[in-house]
Amino acid sequence: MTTMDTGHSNGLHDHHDLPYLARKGGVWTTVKDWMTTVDHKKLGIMYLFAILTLFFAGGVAALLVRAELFNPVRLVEGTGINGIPARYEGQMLGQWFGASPENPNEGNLWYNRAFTMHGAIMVFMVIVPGIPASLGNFLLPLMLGAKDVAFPRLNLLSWYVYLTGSIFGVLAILYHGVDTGWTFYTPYSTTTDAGHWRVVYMILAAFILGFSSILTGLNFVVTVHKLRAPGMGWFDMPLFVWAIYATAVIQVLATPVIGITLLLLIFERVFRVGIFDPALGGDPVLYQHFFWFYSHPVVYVMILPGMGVVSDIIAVHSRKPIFGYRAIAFASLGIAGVAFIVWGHHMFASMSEIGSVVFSALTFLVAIPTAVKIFNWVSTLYKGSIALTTPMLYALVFLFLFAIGGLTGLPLATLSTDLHLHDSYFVVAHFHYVMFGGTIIALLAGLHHWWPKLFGRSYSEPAAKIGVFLVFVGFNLTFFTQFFLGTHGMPRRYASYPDEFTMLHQWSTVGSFILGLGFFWHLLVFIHSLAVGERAKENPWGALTLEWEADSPPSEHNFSHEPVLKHGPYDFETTVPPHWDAKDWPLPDPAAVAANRH
Amino acid sequence: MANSMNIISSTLGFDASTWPLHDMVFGDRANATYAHSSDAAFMFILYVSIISFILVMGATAYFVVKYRRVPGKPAELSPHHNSRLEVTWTVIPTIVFVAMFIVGFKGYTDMLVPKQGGIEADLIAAKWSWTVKYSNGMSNTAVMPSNKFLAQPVPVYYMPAETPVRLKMISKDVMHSFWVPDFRLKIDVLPNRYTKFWFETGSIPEKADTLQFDAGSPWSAMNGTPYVDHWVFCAEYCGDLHSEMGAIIRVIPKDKFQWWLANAGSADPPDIRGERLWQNNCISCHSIDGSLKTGPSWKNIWGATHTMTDGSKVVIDENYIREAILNPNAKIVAGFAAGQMPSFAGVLNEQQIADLIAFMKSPKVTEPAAEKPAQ
Repeated sequence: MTTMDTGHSNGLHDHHDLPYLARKGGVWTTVKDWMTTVDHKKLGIMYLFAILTLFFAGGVAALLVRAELFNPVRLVEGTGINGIPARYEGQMLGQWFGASPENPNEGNLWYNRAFTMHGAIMVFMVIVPGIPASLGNFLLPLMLGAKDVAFPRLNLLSWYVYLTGSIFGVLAILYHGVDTGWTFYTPYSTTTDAGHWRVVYMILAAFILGFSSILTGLNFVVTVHKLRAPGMGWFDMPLFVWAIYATAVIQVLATPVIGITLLLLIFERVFRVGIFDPALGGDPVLYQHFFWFYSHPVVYVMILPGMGVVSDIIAVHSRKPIFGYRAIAFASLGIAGVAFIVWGHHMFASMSEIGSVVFSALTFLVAIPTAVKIFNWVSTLYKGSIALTTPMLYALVFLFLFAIGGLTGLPLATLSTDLHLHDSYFVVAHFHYVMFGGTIIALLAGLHHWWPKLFGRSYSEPAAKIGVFLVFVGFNLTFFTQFFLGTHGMPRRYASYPDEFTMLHQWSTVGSFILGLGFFWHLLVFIHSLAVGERAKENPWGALTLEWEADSPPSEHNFSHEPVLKHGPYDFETTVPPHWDAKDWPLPDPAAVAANRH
Repeated sequence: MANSMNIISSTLGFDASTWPLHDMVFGDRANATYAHSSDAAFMFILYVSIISFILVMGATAYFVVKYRRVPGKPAELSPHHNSRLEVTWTVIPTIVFVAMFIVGFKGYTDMLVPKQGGIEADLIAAKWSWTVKYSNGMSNTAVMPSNKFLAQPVPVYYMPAETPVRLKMISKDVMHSFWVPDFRLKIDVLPNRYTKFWFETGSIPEKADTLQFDAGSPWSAMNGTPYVDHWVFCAEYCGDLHSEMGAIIRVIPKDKFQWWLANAGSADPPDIRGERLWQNNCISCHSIDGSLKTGPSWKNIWGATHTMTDGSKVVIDENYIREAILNPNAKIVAGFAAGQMPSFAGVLNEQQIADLIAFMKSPKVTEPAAEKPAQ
């Protein structure tokens, strides 16, 4: 414990010095306290639980999808023609949900609902808000040395907006049996249910969730601008903060577009103005433009925070200043800028030729800062003092998977090869390597890295490493096979497939269940930690960013004094970390350090 | 620049099929003039990717082992940044990416700019079938039993080898996407404007399978014709039977194709032609065994009296069927939703409507009189 001047020297132990998790009364008081809290830490924890719960729901939907694909649908009896009744096999979901084995439509419908559920939940409710809303909310003020975000009440509002959007979205999917895929492409989405309102509900859910993103984004932008600790310049901020900042800017700028799309859809439905529906003289491709003008920048909302997490973890666990700090910070902003001008690469197969050529060229622009970041991370390891802790293992898994995800993006940006690979399993594998191998793995890395700070408890390192192994093997088995399915011609969103794809699909399904087991294992490790884990130290990894100066878990007001920044976030060569003893942290010869700087 | 463009073009002339890893990635069925250059572009990107991945991950693994933590020892000192190095690893990928873009652009123009000559055909997509209409108005196709892939029979489209084929595509309902993996090309099929797809296959290999029809079949003149089959998939999600929306492009020698085009349309009696039309156009919504699908079953429908949604009674005869095909929402049988069936005006001509009617009257669809429900 630090024993600095607390400013509360009146002898009374102010309740603000208690850990934020301390209960202030009975069950009802505690529930009310959490439900009305404006504490960024409690909000971050509530987001974390909501996001992990939805991740579980989306994961179950994914396992249903993989279970269905273990076997193709086959006609096993009769022909369905010439008056002979047919019977189909291999429609696993259909059979579970009571669909007729004589009618392939019904069985496939359950499959179509399952992948829609999986995509919509994972994208809009898990990956987009994932890291910024949970870890971002909890850590951003701590890292800046602030007491809270700039607008704590707005933060509470955006939590409830998120909750409303998630509940609304899940109910809309369940109630309407939405089977459109998470992209809700017109005219399929607008013409196949009687009321034609299904897509409006779904876009409304996306917009409510987006609104929560805007509010959080605004809050974070102002917090970063206004609440940095004395002495903290822009280039003294941890790279996680840079990433969250770039993310927040994209959220604020891109999300209104989904709102405009919603308004246009409602106009079309209510006033019969042809915008997207060809029957009214509209153009369905226009919907794709609107959708991706929002959803493509959002791809970077998903990945940038993960990059920030990994930047910090690699530096801390190799005790090395991050290589090319400014390059990484500017690469984040560069990606955020280019994010707005590459949406067309989702539509090479439907767009005008010139549009395709321009968007292909622009798309390669994103690849450059991304490559630069990877090189910087690897260079940070050079001559480091590398400990293979669970967070570091996950950061390395991130590098491995994200490199594959990035490299397999290249043939998708290339025009001629994309026209083959578009909407195939190659794309499915690619974006899972980026979104899952990137964002979710980074979330796991961050969760283990900051777990002691979040809950004040340690988790079992050996047990967590078993989880890393299961997730790594399961993930690669699930998705590496899918690259080959894609190049050989397997289209996505298919409930069935020709015989030649069976073996790869079965390996993929086996992998997905190993992956599921890995997550279940991690859940057990976390529960074990919360129940009987050892009390965590304030700064177990020897990190230099300000959140580690606070208690574990932090007190209600974060710091007992206003922190003043005396060192950069990665000055491992010159600084003994807070809560560490100088004898446990040998520093190199200051003269050599000074010489190295020049 | 012109010189480097030439080098790239000639690189694209390479047939990637013998390159390392090619068959593992793509199999050996590529068969369109532009497929080989598309594969060459992919393999180029793949080799670059494998090399960079090995370099980056190799360095990572080396560093993790060599610089693992030794308790009590601080990290060694090394520069915090190095402008020359950072500029290098920004510029080199940029140059490589420009090369990838150019290669992709060149292959893209090959795919989009059709060769003249050869044949033209229309392709009409609807939930959940593809119909090809040849220049002589025929939309006849053979149908293949489905156990290899689909729940329903797969239409087979004959196409001539070594001939440019240009398809003009339109959708009757939602978006679809016409993908022939062996050609390495897919183009979306839209409901509100035509899109185009062209291909020219190579010659048919000597070891190809040959067609065999029963001795009495009017098709037996085609026996012994070598052919190559290519899957067609719908690649834009379109609903319940999206994964059943397949077809086969069967490439046969040019001269055999000419014979087939001239004769196939009239070789069969009307009810057999009608059955094929049903399998290609109607089967996903109309059963003939009484099972309920999106639309009424055709079992025993001929001559029956049905109640419409407005309460009127209509006898199912030639004129009702014709109207139902061309203007499907005019009269809807009670219990079924309006707006489900697209109009087939312009897709089925008068001859084909007559063929369908012949099929509906044929014994395959009308059961023995004893089973007819009392009127």
